[in-house]
Amino acid sequence: MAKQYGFWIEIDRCVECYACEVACKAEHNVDLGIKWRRVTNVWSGSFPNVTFKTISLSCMHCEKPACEAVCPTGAIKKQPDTGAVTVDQTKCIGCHYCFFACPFGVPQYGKSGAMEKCNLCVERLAKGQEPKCVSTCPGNALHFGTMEELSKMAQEKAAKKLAASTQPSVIVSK
Amino acid sequence: MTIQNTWGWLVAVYLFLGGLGAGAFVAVAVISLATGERFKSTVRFGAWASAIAIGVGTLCLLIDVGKPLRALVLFRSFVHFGSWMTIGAWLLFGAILFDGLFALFWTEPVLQWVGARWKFPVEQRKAFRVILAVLGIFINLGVAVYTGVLLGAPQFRPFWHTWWLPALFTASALDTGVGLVTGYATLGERSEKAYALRNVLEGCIIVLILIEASVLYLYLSHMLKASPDAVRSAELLTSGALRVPFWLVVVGLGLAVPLIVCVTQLGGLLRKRAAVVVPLIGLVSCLIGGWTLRYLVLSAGLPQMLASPALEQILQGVKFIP
Repeated sequence: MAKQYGFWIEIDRCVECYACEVACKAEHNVDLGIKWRRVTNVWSGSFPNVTFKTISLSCMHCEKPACEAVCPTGAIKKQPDTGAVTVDQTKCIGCHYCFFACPFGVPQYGKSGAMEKCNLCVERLAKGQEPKCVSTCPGNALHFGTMEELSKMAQEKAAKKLAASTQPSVIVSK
Repeated sequence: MTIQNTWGWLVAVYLFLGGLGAGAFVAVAVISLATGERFKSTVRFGAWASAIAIGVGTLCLLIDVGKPLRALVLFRSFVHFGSWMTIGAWLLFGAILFDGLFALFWTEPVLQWVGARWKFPVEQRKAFRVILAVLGIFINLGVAVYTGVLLGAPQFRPFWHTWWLPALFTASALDTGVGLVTGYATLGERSEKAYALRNVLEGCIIVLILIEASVLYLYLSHMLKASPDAVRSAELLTSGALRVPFWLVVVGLGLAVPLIVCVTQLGGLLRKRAAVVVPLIGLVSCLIGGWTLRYLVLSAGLPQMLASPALEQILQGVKFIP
């Protein structure tokens, strides 16, 4: 089976510094208002026992991407060598169909009108480097690797693979 | 309350006009197959109306996408046939072509112009009309169904992800299309037997409205019993933020008013004094209802709140939709 790269996010190591988000924007020169990686606070509980956890998420690079299935132009492709789900912006017509197909609200549309999202830094991968968000994270909260490697690394933590019918390549742990 | 607005009123115009055009074509194609040239002005009107409606609808779709010029190059942009949008784009192209050709074959000056240059016997012309009508009915029904399938394909919009939606949009397409043709048959058709055609069409509309109302009822009651996300969407229409336009415009103007108009027309009430005004009111209110139905169904298409049970244990109810 071809390799499937993905992310492991350790929530208890995240200090909500937004370095991953900024590094991603700088690396890919992303338009204002568009975020390929998003740091989100998830609130829970009710007053007076309110708490939040911070989580950094991007495209899940699903094993069965719903966006690829609905794309009329074939611009969205799952790369066989890395498992990255990429979009060819020279083919995309900006119809927003992938936005409705994606269960995680990942596809976004910038000034060009075409869809854009995390591409797993495929150009850095080709040079043997990690994605910019992962190499930038000061707290080692973000990890990158094949799903087998990540599962092994995350074994000791109470880690869970994100579950959805599209099979996201993301593991989250406390 | 949030509503879906990534696809807004322009897409609703397309969904409406696509259905309207398809319904009008099916109506006049059946009329032409059943009665030949007897009601040629109605057939001509319906054929042109369907070609123009589907053409303008497609234009709205093009304006709505981020890269309209790129989308226009059909054979380069719509190549992934696993996607319903690709199938729909080619169906639209086929419908515009067939409806346009059918309209030309029913337009006298065009036929004379062709006849003056090439040998084109009447029998051949009739055969062409029959072929175009029969094939066109399939393509246009495809367009009507597709407007619902387009929304129904994405799995994570539970309010759309059901076969009730194509059923509803197809019923509404036929209802509005037949309504438009009836409007012309009532106000514009000068043929001797125009009243008979009108009566048949009005009877058809009554049946179609009853079918559409039943499908709408079954669709919403099905959704109100489905997943919590589908219930959230359905309640937007029945009792939530969109309830006023839903009950007043979709149910009131779109279904009740045309039904009352057709029943009074068929019953022979009001025939003399309001011969023009009443059918016109029925037609306009039916069209407004048809567009509003599309717009509200689009607006109510909320995403599924995705929290996998595994992740929930970690994040206590995290929601991943921004």
